[in-house]
Amino acid sequence: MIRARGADGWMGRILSIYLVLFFFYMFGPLIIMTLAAFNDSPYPTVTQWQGWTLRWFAALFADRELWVGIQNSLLIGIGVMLLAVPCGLAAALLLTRMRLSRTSRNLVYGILVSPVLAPGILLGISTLIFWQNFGVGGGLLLATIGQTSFIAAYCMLLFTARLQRFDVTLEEAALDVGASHTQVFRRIMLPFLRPAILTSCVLAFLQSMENYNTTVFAIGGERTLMIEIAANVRHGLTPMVNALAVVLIAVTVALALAYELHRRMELRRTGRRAAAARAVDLRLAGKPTLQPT
Amino acid sequence: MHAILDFRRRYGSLLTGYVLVAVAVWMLGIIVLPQAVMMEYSFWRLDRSHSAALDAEIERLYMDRQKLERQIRTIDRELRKPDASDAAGLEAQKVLLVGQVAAIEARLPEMEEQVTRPVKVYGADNYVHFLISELHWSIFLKTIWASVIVTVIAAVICYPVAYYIAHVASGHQAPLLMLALIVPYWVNELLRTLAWLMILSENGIANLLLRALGLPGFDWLNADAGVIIGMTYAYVLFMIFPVYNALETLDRNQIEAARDLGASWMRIHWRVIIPHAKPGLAVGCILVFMLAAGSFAVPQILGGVRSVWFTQVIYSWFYDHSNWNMGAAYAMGLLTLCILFVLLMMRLFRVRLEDIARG
Repeated sequence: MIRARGADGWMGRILSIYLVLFFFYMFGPLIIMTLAAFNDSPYPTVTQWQGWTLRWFAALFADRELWVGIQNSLLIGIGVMLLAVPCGLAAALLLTRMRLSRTSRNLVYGILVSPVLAPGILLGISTLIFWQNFGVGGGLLLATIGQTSFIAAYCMLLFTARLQRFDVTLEEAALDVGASHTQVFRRIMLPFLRPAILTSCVLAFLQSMENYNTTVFAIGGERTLMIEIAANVRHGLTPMVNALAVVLIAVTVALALAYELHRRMELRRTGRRAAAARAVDLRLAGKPTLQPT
Repeated sequence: MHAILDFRRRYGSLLTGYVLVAVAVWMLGIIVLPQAVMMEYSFWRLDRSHSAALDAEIERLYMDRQKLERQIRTIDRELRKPDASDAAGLEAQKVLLVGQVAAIEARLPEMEEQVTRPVKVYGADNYVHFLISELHWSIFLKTIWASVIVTVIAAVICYPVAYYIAHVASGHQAPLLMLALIVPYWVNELLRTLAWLMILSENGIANLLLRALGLPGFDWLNADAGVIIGMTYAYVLFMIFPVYNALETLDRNQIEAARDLGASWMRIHWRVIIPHAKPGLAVGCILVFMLAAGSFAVPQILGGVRSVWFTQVIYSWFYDHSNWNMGAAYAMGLLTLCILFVLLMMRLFRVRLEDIARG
């Protein structure tokens, strides 16, 4: 099935086998978790099969605390979106458009990107400590602020990648023919940035929804979906958590596939294969990583 | 300043104001100041025990007051006697004593408040506590070596996969393989960890297999092995994408040329492909190490009661002991570790920060 190109015969075969094993390693645990969600057993297992059931999915919808968690997660997600996207855009404009000296540009860039490279719990801790001085205790607000510290950096990377492809002469031309600053922004910049704004919003929201490490420190006594899952695992794990995982994975896979299809269509349309492939896009943006070279 | 004016000329005051305010708020209010305050917190503690001298002083005052009151009572008794001589003198003495009691009573509340109100004491005491606590220090060291192990395993696992997708897979195969990687990558860390609980728990699949082979079962969760396996699984994909991105830019002709010149398979990888993957490996190593060292979810789910990790120690300072200063010092320990690791990687792979974090 896998014809190894450019690899010598037996080496290629070993590599193919390795790849099969690797994907088995990647998907095996997820499949096991999914199966356990349908097992009619009081605790999640696949080794003691008690028969198929859907009751764990029913239990999911009856769990009130879970719905409170989801509601809080949604609120935080919207808050992060509203904070992170404008911050990320402002920073991207500053970094790509303002003629700063190399040193100050690197300094600003380094500071803004540092939360991405720092362990998430540290962001939660520093937020918690800082706001205590103003009498604000752990809760939804602090979780929102803590998450924004690094999610805004992802947005910034997205906007920077987009802005670097922007033809500045368009703005110059518009200004020369007498357009106002507002008009230039609304008629030229904004339409150009629209895809990036949409992507950033989705990215910020998803990142916020699935964040655990930063949230767990900044949230105080409140609960989000992820906190709820972790609490469920620790205190009396039932296959209900597996059912929840199956639902979340299904949503995730659907989103990933939809985005990937969208991206491929976009690529075909613009034909900018190489450039787009190297940009920070949602492929990595589920959890975007920093790109080398 | 010139840069700002130039920006304003092109984009107008409104946009300039927004850009400056937003970046300032984010940079200072959300990143720099909180980090600075966390550092400041780590350098002081609330002292509730320093007041031994004050306690003695308060004790002495109470005793003085008692003595004075006794004297006043004696005078009262004298005054009540019908044959009291020198009543005026006694009255004067009493007034004096009452005045002394009032003076003492005026001082006491303030001093007592000083005892109950802890005093901020600056110093490195929190760090000293961390360094001399054998338990915490050993947990810290365990977190370091476990993170290094996870990073190395991730690099070893990922390299062949990234190489295959970048240079061996055919044009149709590569996008499909990428998609197959993206799907688990999108699945939340918590859920990916949870998936392993069913494998590593006492009656899980791993032990089922061991027993089928006639071997005794293994307590994965309490032996730290569970956490290491879980972290490797949860973070391995953070290595693949950077390495793949680096390898993708390698011109295949270089590999062909090396082969034509008679280089062995090993040599091609060692001298041509791996050097080209270096920036990707550096980014991957940094990400995986950070995620592992700072992982809170994985130890929480896959760590048994006897498998305690550094992030959990930090958490308990905040939420079990309510000692935020100590927690801040421990957090600073983690931060220092991560910064040192970044510097080490930059040295090791000879990459600059701009290569790692390029926008």
